[in-house]
Amino acid sequence: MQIFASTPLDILLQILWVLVFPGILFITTLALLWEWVDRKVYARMQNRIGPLHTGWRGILQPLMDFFKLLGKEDLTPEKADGRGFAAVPVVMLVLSLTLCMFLPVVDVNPSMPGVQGILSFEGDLILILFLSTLVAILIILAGYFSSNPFGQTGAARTGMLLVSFEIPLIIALIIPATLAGSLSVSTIMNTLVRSSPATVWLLMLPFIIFLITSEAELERIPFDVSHAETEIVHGWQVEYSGKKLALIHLAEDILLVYSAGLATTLFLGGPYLLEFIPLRLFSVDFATLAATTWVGWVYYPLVFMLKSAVVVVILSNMRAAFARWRIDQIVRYAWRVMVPLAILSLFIVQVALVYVFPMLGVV
Amino acid sequence: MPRLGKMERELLRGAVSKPATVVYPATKRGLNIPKGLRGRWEYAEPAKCTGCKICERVCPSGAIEMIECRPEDVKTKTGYRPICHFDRCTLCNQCVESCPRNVLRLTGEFEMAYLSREDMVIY
Amino acid sequence: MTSTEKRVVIPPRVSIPIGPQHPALKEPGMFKLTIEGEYIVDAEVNIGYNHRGVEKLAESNTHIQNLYLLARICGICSATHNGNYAQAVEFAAEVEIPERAKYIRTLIWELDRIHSHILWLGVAFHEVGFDTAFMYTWRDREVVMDMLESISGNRVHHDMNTVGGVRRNVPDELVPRLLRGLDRLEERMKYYRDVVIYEKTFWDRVAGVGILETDVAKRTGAVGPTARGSNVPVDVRFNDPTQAYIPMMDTGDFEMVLSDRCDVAGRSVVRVVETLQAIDMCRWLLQNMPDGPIRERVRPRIQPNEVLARHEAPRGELIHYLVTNGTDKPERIKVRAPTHANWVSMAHTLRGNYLADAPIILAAIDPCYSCTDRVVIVDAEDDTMELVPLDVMRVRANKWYKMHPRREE
Repeated sequence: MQIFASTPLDILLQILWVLVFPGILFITTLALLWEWVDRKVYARMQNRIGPLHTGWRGILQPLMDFFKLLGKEDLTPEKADGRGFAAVPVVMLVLSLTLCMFLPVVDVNPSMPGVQGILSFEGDLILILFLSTLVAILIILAGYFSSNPFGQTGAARTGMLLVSFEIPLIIALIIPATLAGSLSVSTIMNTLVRSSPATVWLLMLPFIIFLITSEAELERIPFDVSHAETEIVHGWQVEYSGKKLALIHLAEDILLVYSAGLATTLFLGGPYLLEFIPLRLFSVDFATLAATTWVGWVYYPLVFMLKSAVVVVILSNMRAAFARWRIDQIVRYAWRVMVPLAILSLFIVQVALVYVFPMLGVV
Repeated sequence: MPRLGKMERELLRGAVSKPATVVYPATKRGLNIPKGLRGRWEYAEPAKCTGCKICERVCPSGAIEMIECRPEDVKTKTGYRPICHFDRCTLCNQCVESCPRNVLRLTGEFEMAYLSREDMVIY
Repeated sequence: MTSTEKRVVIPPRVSIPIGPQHPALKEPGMFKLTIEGEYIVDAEVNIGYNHRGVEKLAESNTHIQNLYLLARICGICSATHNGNYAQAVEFAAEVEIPERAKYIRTLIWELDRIHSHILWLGVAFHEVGFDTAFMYTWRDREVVMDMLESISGNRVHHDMNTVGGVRRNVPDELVPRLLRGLDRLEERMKYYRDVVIYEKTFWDRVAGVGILETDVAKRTGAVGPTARGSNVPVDVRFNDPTQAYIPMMDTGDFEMVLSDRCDVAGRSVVRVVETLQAIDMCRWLLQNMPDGPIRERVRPRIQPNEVLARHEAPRGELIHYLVTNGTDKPERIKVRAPTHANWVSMAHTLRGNYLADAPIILAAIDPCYSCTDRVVIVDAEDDTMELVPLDVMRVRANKWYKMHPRREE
């Protein structure tokens, strides 16, 4: 959105972008859809059926749950810090939506080459990392604002998760940036798509690290210690009810969209699929068609959704395959395995960029 | 040696095989209802009943009550017949076993939700 | 920092209540945990939310009615209470029941053990957040539930026993089906044994957690898999067999399952291996079942007598103490459920573990609160214990209701 809005039509168009299509409405719909995919895959892996009755195969079930929670009684505990307590869900929703604005879904800025996010500027990767850390801090605040022992324990555990998984997450995201030589999410993606296939091998390990860390950031099994149901009764969420809980659930779903979208963008080539086929028809003709006409507005989101769905399925599979780890085991595992692994992969990438690629003549 | 993801193969197999869930109220397929199920109480053969009140006496939960035969009932020897307050019944089958003349029976019917206590009195 | 003294930072102590309502507890019970950071430094066990007055009620019922009443003490091990009470009444009446009845009674007990242990395994998986394995174990538990249902006519409350035998026969045409079901169960249980031992995330959560040393287990009188997981050889089936356990133990094919790990992992492995053993026992019982009548007529009035019936329930040794007085009603019946014996060591087991481990440690003894709860008022301030007689309780209740009148509708 860097182009200066010159005419009223442009302003209207930009508002539409933010509010409707690649923006809030689209992201929210996608969030509810991903929750359905997540629940359905989780259920099928457990040999169950999952959501069934609301809509086609229960596809509207997350929406119904959201509406149902909106209609429930909203309680604030007496001891809680009322204003902070009420602010957390809203801020969390806003932050998660903001995070999604950086994902390049369609080409909103045709003047720049390649697909751009609604918000896209040099250095936005740093902002993304900052915002996602802010979400975790917000969770800690939510736990302490509720002044419930379970909430405080959950908040403390979220803090432990934060210190253990933030570093591998950052390193995993830095690697594509070093490969592309840029700090803007959209630019990284557009550069990586055009770079040589050899980079795919370098991105494998960071991709796995990113998946594991995002599972931790999203607080899902095996890392769901901060709202472990059987231990501390949904931890920091324990005192939230009604509308606030609905907003928190929506924010969590949107964070799932963000995580899956970021994995798609940085590691899986973003909304490009057919362009990778080394035929002139696809790599040149179709690419220009998609980039210049309305075809892109249909094709790019579909490819983005397809790739994100694959990531969501992988995340659900991880959720189904493991038991919950204890917090000390998670911290130990994070510092003994994840951090060295992340540093090692960064090292490999640097070596490859400085020595191996010039030697092999790959650009 | 413990390893991660021991159940992964089972998960994938479970994902492609038929779900174990029985979509019960929509279909009864897969419920495996056995022949000898102890279900709803039934006053099966009123003609044989003598009104001896044994069933009332043995019932562990006090579900069976002897009432005087109404005009539409088959007249028993003592003039009494059992009814079952089904909300109290624990489906233990003892009345059926203790009945000397095989009057009572527990049928295989298992859908026993009612809206009021009056509906749960089985005549 | 100029001070050379080593600074020890003690995190603030927080008291976290687990219960009376808590997702980890399937029934109401209260565990006050004092935690420092994540460590449990002290634990206090408060039970008694689920007292229902079964023993008192049993004194006003006939023996036949008590069979069904006592079966409903517990939903999971209903066959053990039911069968053990029948056994107690038979001991008091000094009657011998037919051989086939003994075999069928034992078969139901062992099937009940299989279903109870699989249920426990699912709950244990759920407590550590392994919901997938929970779903799979409970799916396969349906096999044994269907077997029990086809034998007895009810999924949960089998009510198979009566004074002097069993109420239903196991028809011959059912036996091949049961054997097929047992084969399937054995295959699945071997798989779950591997899952328990080889799934790293689960094993990490149970290994070395909730240590109950052998001498502590002996001193606090732990029973059942809790004791056997701590290498204490107590199992009534082997130590003091009754019913068809006597010929079964005479074959010498079965050995007590013991583990010297002393932690939750040991208890899990004991339970899983015991399930496999119970499957073998069921197979043996079905193959060696003699023909003949299934019940003996016993007169409803039982001679005055005082007996103690023991049985190895899935959770441990179950004791029914019965005093009869010549009428068809018991003079006194006292139930010592296995969970009651295992509560004693609970505070010791909880101490020094992580808060996150509390649910799995609590679940590891397979607690059954409603089996256990008796009216004993323990004053935590000065450790006095008070047994409250019924009339005192009535006076207290009247007083309380006078002070707190019901709201007018």
